[in-house]
Formats: sequence, structure tokens, C-alpha cells
Amino acid sequence: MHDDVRLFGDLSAITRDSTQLDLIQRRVQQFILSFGRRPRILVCPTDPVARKQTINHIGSILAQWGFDVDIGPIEKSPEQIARMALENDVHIVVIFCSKNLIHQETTELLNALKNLDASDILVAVFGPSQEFVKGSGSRSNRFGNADLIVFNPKSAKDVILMLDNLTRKN
Amino acid sequence: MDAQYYIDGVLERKRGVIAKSITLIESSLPAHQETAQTIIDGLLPHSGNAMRIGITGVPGVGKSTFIESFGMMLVAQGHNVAVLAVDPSSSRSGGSVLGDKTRMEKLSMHANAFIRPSPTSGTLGGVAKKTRETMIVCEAAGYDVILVETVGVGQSETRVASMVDFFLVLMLAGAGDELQGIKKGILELADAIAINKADGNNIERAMEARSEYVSALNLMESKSSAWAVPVLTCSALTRDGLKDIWATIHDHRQKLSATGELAEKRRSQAIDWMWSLVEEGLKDRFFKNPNVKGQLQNIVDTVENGMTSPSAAAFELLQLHGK
Repeated sequence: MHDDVRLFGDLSAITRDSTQLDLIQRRVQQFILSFGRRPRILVCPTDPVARKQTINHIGSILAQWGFDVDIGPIEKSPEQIARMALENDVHIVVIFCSKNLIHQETTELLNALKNLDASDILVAVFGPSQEFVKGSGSRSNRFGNADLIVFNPKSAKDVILMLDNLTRKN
Repeated sequence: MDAQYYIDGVLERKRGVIAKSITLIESSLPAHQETAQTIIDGLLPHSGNAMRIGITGVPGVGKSTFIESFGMMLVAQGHNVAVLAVDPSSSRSGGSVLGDKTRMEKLSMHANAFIRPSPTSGTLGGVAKKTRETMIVCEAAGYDVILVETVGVGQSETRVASMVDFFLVLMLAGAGDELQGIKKGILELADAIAINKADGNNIERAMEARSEYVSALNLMESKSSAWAVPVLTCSALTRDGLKDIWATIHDHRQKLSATGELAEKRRSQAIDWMWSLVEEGLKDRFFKNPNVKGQLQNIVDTVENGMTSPSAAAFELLQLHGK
């Protein structure tokens, strides 16, 4: 089974657990009080395997958590994704990709954001396991001026960690 | 960053600064709102020269595809186009899912286009205020055509119609919804109606729908003596009819400028804007009032339990606010 399909299952699990959902929603409320808006996230399937329906479903789950979600078109270049992220002024871009592409995809996207002077936008990866990325570096790699966050939410803790990360950055 | 940084950046049409200025406008933090106000005041003299066009239609009518084709036609003619999407699908408690750009693939990548979908959840009637101010930012940045997209359900189209020069209503042929009562309100707002998806096998039905709308409009009182609302057909797919729509918008502008109605429309929109700001400000103050805050939940509960009548409760709340 493809990674993002497995992950989609994980997202649903959090949402079905009202305690976990409540934790996330309360953290989002805090975020709104600090920043004047919801955390805004651009979900970008860079991999053709990531079907539109899956992406839309993930989008609605993130919205239920309290995020404002922009859905990017499938298979766009890093420059195109970066422009969309800049224009919509999102806090975070989530890309979906398979294991063999993760390093290339994220490096390119981070560079594209840097070229637009938008290094304040976080890049997160859905898909590969944390262990895999750990193997290629650390949990939070530095790429130039930007952070790469590995986001594989099995519990509310992962989501809250990501929001904490955003809060530190802004 | 101070307000001047944003003002300068917007005037230089720096994409990132435009985006961040819009974020400040949309922010609920008082400090952000204050900066946003200074930005707007600084940009206001540079705005007002754009064509402001509202576009509405029921979900499925093909608004995004229409804007993609229409916008691409305009940038090809040398225009700078900003698209503001208002009132996308949003759930009440959570955030919004904003997917518009997925259907505006070419336009969203064009150097002379700027597309910004705005979430509406959690705003207390603030949509109109924010979109108006966002429009000013885009105009000051040199975008000379502003397309405001809104879903043709609920009240957002009335709000959008009150802030644009031209309101285009997209319709579908043969969707079984022609001339139903619910559409009447929307027809009253229209400056033109376009039957979309008039392509392939659908052309004939589009023409039929067109004549139905024409006769329906004949029964309605016209908004302006200088303008009879035309019904057009178009296809965002084949791009047929798009040029006619643009010509219609120009024609409308010329005719209403000549009679002074356009200037009058903008003046009365400015007054509307002022009142909507006053309303929002009052609402805001009401909810922030400590007397109200302290008693609000109790009073709501008594109404819910049937212990107090709604009117008595409203009176009590307003008294608390006046204290």
C-alpha cells in the first residue's frame, strides 16, 4: 500500500478520538489568539499516486482540526508550489511524496521558497516514516534557512508539536 | 515591519508583501487591524481605477473554470488580474478547505495574475469589510481587473454585489432550476447573466434557457434606465462567448459612466461600507463589554430554558452594554 494511503488512515484515527481531537482544537484556538488567524496549510500532492479524493479527504480532516486548508494542484513544480504558498500566505506546506523522492522534492521546494524570500514558510512531509527520514538526517533537518518537519501524525501530540514549531518560527 | 513597509511593497507589486498585507487585513488581532488600517489609508489614493467585477453561480456552474478562461483572456490582452475568492466551503466549527486554485492552473501561475482565496469561518459578518480592503490593496498594486468570486448560496452574493461595479451571474442550462423562486433574488442583483457550458450537445439547451431568462427579466423592474440586463451564453471550455461578456462589461461601464450612475454607485457603496464598519464595530464592542461578557452565558441559558423571553433577554443585554 502506498504511504499516503496508510497515513490517511492515521489521520482518521485521530479525528475519531474525541479526546485527541479536542486537544488539537484547543491548541488551534491558542494559535488563533496569538496570530489572529487559523494555521493555514497548503496540501500539495507532488506524487501522482496521491489521488485527488485522498487529498480532499485529508483536507477536510485538517479543516476539522481547525486549520485553513489550501489544496494545491497535483504534480506542480516546486516553483509553482512556492508561489502558491507565498500568495496564499500559508504557514506550512505539506507535500506528499514517495520515499525515493523525499530528499530531492523537499530540497527543491525549500530552495524555491528561499528564492521568493519566503523561508518563514515551513515545509512538512507526509508519507515516509519518521525512521526513514531520521536515517537521512535528523527529525528536523536544516536546509538553508528553512526547517523541514517530518509530520506523520499518529497522535494529537505530533500535530501539536508541529503547531509549537510554527509558533516558534513566527 | 511598519505600515510603510507594506505600503511601499504593495505599490512595487511585491507578491509576498501583497499577500502579507491581506493577511493583516484578515487578522483578528487588534494590533494587526491597526497596522492594516494605516496600510489601507496609505493605499486608498492609489486605488479606485480598476474594473471591479463580481462573479457568482451555484456550485457546479463552473465558476473557477470560467475565471481561469476569462482571466487568461484578460492577461493575454495585457491586463493585470486579481482574483479574490470569497465564502468558499467552510464548516462552522473548523477551518475552511480552499481549493480554487486547483481549477485555475494556468492563471494561478501567470506573472500578471494574483489569486487569493479567503477563509470566512469564524468571522462575524466581516467578509465584506475584508474583501473591500483586499480589493484596495490589489488595485494599489496595479491590478486593473478585480474578479470577486462568490458561491451563489446564502448571503455572500448580496455583499459582493454591493462592492463591485458589475455583477455577473453564471447559470446552467437544463439543470432543472430555471426560474425558481430562489433564483429571483440573485437575478435582481445581476448586471448580466451568462449561461455557462454552452458547448457540444448542450448548445441548444443553453439557447432555450437563454430565452427563458430573457422573458423572466422582462417581468422585472430594471435597476437602471441606461442598462437592460443582457442574457449571454458562453463556454469556459471552448472560450466561446467570453469576448462578448468582456464587451458587455465595457459597454455597461461606458453607459453608466455617461449617465453618472457608476459614480453614484461607488458613492453609495462607500456609504454602505461606512455603515457596515459601524455595525461591525458596535458588535465587536458589545461582545467585548465586560458587563455583557459576564452575564452573556447565563442570559443565553435562561432563554434556552424558556425562563426568559428572547425580547426581554435582548433588552437586558443591551442595558448591560449601556451601563
